[in-house]
Amino acid sequence: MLSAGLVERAKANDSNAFAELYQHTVTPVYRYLSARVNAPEEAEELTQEVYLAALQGLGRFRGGDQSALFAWLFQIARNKLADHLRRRYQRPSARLDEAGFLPDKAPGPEEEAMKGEDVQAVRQALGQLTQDQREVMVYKYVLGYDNAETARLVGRNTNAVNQLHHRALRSLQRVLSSSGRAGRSEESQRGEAGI
Amino acid sequence: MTNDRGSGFETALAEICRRVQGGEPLERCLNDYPSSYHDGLRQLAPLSGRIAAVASDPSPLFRARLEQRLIGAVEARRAGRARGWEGWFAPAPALRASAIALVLFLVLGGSGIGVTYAAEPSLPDSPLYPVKRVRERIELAFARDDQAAAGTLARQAERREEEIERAVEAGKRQGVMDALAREAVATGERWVRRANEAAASGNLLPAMRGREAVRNLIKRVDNKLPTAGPEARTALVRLRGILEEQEGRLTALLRTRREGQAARTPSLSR
Repeated sequence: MLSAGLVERAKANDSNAFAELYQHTVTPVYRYLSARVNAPEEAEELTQEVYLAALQGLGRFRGGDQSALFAWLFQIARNKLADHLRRRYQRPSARLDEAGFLPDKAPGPEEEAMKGEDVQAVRQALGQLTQDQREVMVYKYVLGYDNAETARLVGRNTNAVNQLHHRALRSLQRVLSSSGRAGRSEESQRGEAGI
Repeated sequence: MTNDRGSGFETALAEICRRVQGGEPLERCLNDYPSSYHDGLRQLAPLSGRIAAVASDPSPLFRARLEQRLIGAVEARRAGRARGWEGWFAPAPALRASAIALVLFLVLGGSGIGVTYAAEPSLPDSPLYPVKRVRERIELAFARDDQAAAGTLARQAERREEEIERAVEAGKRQGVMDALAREAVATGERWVRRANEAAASGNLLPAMRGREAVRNLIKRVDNKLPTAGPEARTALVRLRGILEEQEGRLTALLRTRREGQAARTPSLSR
């Protein structure tokens, strides 16, 4: 939980307060971004942009609780990500690996490489969902929020979130099936669960 | 029979995904739901487990570096709003005006040469240090063009490097280190300001030299950090964060201007 008056102190340019606010929020913000970009460098650059923008705009932030703060930070992250993806697709000279279409450079052992490929496939499949569907997936499974918190963050009720969740999983299954990767985790999960 | 439509199935799907994420075996969970849902749940629920893997956590090094940089940015905003960098450790305005008048008299008056020479190796705990500060401002004010200003600022940045080194070696107390850090930041701010002004008229040289100077200052701080005492270390860590933030602004300035220039330059291959 955020300590009392932290946001107000950060607004008054108290560097310790801003540092505390950053420490408290940086992991979810970074995870949110890293779910959409391939290279850690991209996620790091975007995270930095988010916090510099947050610092600039903190005076306009209205709300003191943790939930409002996260909603505001994710909104900034969403905008920065959109700008970043727009720039990437507008840049014709971008290499394929920069643009996020190739798996990580160092595959390591075969199992790791397959895992890396699966991550890439899922990440690309997420990119084909609608924004609301994708947000629900990320809030629930990347950030571990419950239905109520997810509903608050996407500005819908829990029934609507359940519906988005269902449609998102259906779309993911369809996209992954077409790339031949739909069944991997079912088999591996059964194996892991001893089924 | 597969029945994956309707709010009953959607609720069941949300629940079973949460349970599977929590470690419960899928097949055991299925027993709690109508058999008409089983096929749909079997297909979809395992997908949820694959989504978490697409994200990663920030590295501790990245977290620490960004924190430093943000602290620097907050400090820069606070100081910039309050009194400007140059006034960071100035006394009350009336006293400050008198001090400047006295220093100007000493610098520009008959005994000026000897005083300014004596002030050269001074550190912020010396009464002669303000003489050096005022002289630096005068030098900069009289620089005839951007190139001369860049040369003056480069000398000032080198002085800051030497001052930091001497202060650490002499084991100066934290107040002195803080004052030195503020002077180094003020020098960096002058670079950024001059670089922006020059870049506005198409001259990127001050930005390039400024970035180099700030990088050298960062290197000097890095060299001194391992041997600095705890008090000096706090000031140096904070200074480093601010310098990195300044370097970032100069880099961003260069990038923006170069992209602008590249966009305006017609391609030869066309």
